[in-house]
Amino acid sequence: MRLLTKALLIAAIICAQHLVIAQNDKGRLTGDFYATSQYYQANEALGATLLPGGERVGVNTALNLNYDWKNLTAGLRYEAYLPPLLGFERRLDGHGIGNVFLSYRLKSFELTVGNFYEQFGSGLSLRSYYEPQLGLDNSLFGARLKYYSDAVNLTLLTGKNRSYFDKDDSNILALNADVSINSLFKNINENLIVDIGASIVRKTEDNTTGIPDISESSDIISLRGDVQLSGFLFGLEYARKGEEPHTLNQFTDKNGRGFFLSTGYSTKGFGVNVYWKFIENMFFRSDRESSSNITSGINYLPPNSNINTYRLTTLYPYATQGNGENGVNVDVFYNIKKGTALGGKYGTKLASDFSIIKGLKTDGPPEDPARFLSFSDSTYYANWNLEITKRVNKKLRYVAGWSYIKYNRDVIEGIPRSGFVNSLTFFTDITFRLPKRRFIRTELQHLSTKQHLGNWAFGLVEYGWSSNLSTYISDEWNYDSSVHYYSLGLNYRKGPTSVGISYVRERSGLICVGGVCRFVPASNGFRLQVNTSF
Amino acid sequence: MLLTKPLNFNRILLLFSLLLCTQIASAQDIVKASEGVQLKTLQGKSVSFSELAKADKGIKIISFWATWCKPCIQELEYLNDIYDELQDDMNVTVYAVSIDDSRSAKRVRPFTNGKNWAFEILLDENSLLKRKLNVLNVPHTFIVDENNEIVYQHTSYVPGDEEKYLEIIEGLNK
Repeated sequence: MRLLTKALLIAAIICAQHLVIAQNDKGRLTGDFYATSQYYQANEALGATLLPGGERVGVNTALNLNYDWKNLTAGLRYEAYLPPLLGFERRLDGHGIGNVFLSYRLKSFELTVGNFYEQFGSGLSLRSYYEPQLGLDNSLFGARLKYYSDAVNLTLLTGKNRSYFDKDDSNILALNADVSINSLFKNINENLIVDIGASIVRKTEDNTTGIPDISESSDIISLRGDVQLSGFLFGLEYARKGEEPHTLNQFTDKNGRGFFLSTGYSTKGFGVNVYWKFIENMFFRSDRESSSNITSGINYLPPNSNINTYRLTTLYPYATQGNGENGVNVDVFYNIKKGTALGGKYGTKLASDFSIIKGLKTDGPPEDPARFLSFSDSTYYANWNLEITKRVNKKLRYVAGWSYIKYNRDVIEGIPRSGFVNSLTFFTDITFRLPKRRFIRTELQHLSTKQHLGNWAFGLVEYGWSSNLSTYISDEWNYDSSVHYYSLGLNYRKGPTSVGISYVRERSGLICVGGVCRFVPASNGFRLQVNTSF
Repeated sequence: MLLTKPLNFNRILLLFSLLLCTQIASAQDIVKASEGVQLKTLQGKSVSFSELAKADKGIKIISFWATWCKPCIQELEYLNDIYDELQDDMNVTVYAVSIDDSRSAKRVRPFTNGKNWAFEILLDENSLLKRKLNVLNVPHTFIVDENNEIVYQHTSYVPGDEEKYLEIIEGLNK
């Protein structure tokens, strides 16, 4: 009882202080917390193993705190991987402060010291970001000064890339400018919007490889512009990287190039966009000897492919080939108006994406510099999706579609002579609302292919007991080998908090976010997930 | 070094009390919470979210979403179906903040036009506002009253959640 009294007393004091602080506007504490833990069981038929070292329980967790006071913001993130879940890099094992910063704003200026996230343009020259699903955090640790105005935004920064609970040795120094031409020249037609930007990023790293004559500093220069006229849009970014030999480009002394074009037209009810991306030797690394694709990236090379989300359409995902790829992607969106025969009462939404990514063409051997914007004969990846979304009435809504994928395993998985996988997936997703905020949702999917593991089927049923509680059961079935990967779980949500408990059997595969992929081995066991913010 | 020490009962109680305490003190002003964050409009213009919120004297629904997030799209489609009512009768503006990164940010404009969404669409390409408001996953939705206080927030989406939003908004309009 004494313990309880003591704890409550301390809490009450802190609470009271907190409330007084809030009232006097002296500051505000906010934060978030997540934890995912899994209990693993080995299962030979599924190919499921325990954690490396034979451990059965893995936990990934982080507590993030931010404190705002007047123009100051301070933040801290405490992370623990005890040990990391299956498929995350073992080097994360342990716990500690993963992120800490202090930021001060004064009029148009902002100064940050500590860990910070930044992106220039599309990230081709620099992007530091946090993606806990991948175990990726390449925040820069150093100092950053920003200047904002209507016409010009400037950023000057210096720092080192985070690498697990440590930092890479190299130094990064960068400058970025974004200029709004409309704000500079007020007499431009208001339908015409023009923005331009430029950045320069320099990395300096001691040569510890033993290979002579490796330059200790490398630069990327990037130029970009966006023009919009009524519904039309045209954007271009070009980046040039100096010589930068490292493990991922097999220590080549070639220069790097990146070209990214995006153009389209859209109006209410219709949109089309075309993207073209050419990259050659564009991995920009903060540790030239690291071979990890999760850490040590300075820039970001998003793949020019569709983002597939239905379970079986994620079986063959694309991973960006930063040493060279050339791809085109077309998106079309159309809304069939409501009140028409096909549109029904709420309208019918159609979406189609097409993408094809090939290698680079050279005049000589493959290691020669490529011909700018030329495609080789080798296809790395092709994908065509068609999707219909329709709300039939107040109760029934469905999504239906297909996805064709051609996947080059030699290139994407790096397994020589493994060939192509051609797959066609059909999917449906039906939601039916029941009285008292209950609902039932089903997904049915089928993937057919003659290659690799053969055909798959997937089914899911989710039932919502109330707006807070739902339960699901699913099965992913590789029926050529008769292996079932089933899962069942319970999810509880209230306000900003969600808790999920499940039993999962998961196939092995790549988990990719933004073209950065990690391989996750098959697993079998119980999972508990908690997310909250305050 | 918290985890290297064994957790005793006292400490658990204290942590629990602190958690309760943060719940009590959780009323937040969206204008202050989003200070210093620049977002982009679909026209490519940089805007301060804080200024935008300050200028809007009505009720706001702020929904974090992405073009690849199925429940987000489902939520926004339902909100779009009732958006006339929300705007005209309930004084509500919906801010749909896309966290699509540079891979898919250019998709947002044709996507939202193709879906005929009438919301204020904003781009948070490197998740600055998302982190500032402690959003872990999308969809995550905030309801903000006329005084810019966050009165409700909700993570994930299941069919029927928008009915809850309507109840809260009706309460604010009374």
